[in-house]
Amino acid sequence: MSDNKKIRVLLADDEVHIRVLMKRVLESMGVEVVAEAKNGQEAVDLYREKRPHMTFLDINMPLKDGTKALKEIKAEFPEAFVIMLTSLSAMETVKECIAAGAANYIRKDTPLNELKLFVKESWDEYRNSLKK
Amino acid sequence: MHVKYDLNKILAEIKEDEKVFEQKEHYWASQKEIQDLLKKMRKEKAAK
Repeated sequence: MSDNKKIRVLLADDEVHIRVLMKRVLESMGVEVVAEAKNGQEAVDLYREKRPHMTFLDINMPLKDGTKALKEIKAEFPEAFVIMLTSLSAMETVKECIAAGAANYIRKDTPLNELKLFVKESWDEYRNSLKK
Repeated sequence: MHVKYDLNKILAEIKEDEKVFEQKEHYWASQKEIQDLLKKMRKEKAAK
């Protein structure tokens, strides 16, 4: 994540304290949080408007859950880079999100250093896949 | 030959099996399991 141009991020979580924490974590990685959504519908709308490089979606959100938002974003923008960041990790939901094209699925209780590593690895893999 | 069935016992066993099945289908994955699954699904996708 050492590109000269900053990576633009959309962060979707209905809990404000998670958005504040994640914003700090992501900004410490050198990326810029350009939009924050508090529900799944807002996430889809903001994705269309801002076209971020990277999107973080919570699963359990009002109006539209993260799984539905992921599917809508990927249907419209197949190359979207989306990471699910959630406290729910039912194996069925994990499989559903990965099959729908999520770049990663990170539990919120993951230690921050590991979380950063997963984000970086997923981003590098995504960038490499675009070069192929 | 006459076999005697204990319906309550059979129902209790079925209920227990259902519980195990539910837990297997819906259990919460650890972060390591998620990463392993991701790798596996990516490999499968690449092989197609």
